[in-house]
Amino acid sequence: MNILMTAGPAALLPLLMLFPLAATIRQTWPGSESCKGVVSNAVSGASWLVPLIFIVPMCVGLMIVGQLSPLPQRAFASAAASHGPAIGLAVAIAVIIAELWLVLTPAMVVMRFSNPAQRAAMLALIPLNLLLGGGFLAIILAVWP
Amino acid sequence: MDESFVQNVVKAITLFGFGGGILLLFCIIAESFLRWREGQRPFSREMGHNYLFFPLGPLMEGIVANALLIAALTAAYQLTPLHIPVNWWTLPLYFLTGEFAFYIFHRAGHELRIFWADHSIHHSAETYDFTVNLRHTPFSTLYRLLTWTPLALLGFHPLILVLMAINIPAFQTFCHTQRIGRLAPWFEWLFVTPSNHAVHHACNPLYLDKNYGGLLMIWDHVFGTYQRLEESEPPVFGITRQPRSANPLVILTHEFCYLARDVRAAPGLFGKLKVLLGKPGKTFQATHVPDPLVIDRSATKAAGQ
Repeated sequence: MNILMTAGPAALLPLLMLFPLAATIRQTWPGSESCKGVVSNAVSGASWLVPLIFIVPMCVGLMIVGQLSPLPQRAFASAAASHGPAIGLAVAIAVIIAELWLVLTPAMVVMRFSNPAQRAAMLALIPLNLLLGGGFLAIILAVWP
Repeated sequence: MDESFVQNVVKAITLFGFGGGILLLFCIIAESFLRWREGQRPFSREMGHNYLFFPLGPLMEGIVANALLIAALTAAYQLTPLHIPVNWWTLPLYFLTGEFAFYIFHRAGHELRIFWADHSIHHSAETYDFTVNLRHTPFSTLYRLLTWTPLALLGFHPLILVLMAINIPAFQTFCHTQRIGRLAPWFEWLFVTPSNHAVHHACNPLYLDKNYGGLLMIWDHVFGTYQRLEESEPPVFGITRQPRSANPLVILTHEFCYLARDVRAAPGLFGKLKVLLGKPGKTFQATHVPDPLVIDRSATKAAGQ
């Protein structure tokens, strides 16, 4: 409550970021297609993925130029120092979402929605996704320690 | 215009370009990998064309054409006394307007022959994969400018419009795939998805000139150009006058050649303008010897009727 009083509407930002995070986890989690119902759709429905069209490329771009650490705790610390804890928390959640989309979520989305006959061939997409996304994050951490 | 605001948005556009570039690279690698896993050759001739057009299209557009677009739209924006502020409350308006601008630009690319000559290059791919979105030319910036200038004159900030201009094609890269089937009906109705963008790329009569949306399908619903993918009508990718040449220059110029020939043969200035600004397939056409390297699907259809 105290944070809400001092940070103003910005304190709602981390709360809002939880919805795209929940939607991302839902797309990533194997078997979550059985997750149905009004509440779960309201909290983690695919509509919450729309802001990610802006957020994920922006986070990746910021990581490339060294303005955002791929480590969420560091991203939190640097954003909190300049913009306050609420923005710091929102940035840390954005980093987690971006990293999920870098290392695993696309492969899981393709697996889930692909033709069942092709799924065996698609299975190898998971290690490829991990390799590309993990490799990218490792390079970023090596260049901008 | 506030200098620091402009600098911040330009920086955001650059960062967005870097991030989108990495995601695009991952998609291209995944495309070849999946083709190999599916028992196909990792690279096809058509993919080769797509890669070849990348430096000419998206890269040139990102580096040069967008800078010119920003400059021209900013000049228009400075002519008008109307200025719509950019803040949290106006962002939804900007989003919907950016979508509308994309819809108009995209529809012009399909329904005016002079612009279709350029946009047909993107649609001439007979496959539908992530690399197809590399197949663009910077000429599209010209008709983006023509269709977006009225919005800048209405007071919409040009930098935000350009941010949308970069963002929408970047998002659509992920839609260029047949590996994802139809999603939930409400999602298909509201958003651009791989299946309703597949409709847009198909040349079946049912699917021609449909689904122009960028991120949302709402403007297609408003203007009656929405078409869902029907199970009974599998999409045939490509264009009605399909070039089958291995020469990338032919791919780049084939519709321009038809356009030039028809404009030359059209009677009078008004007739020539009607060819340039008419709808593809509905304008004056010069008689010509059929090219064996071009499949005329519209002619096949007419013969079959």
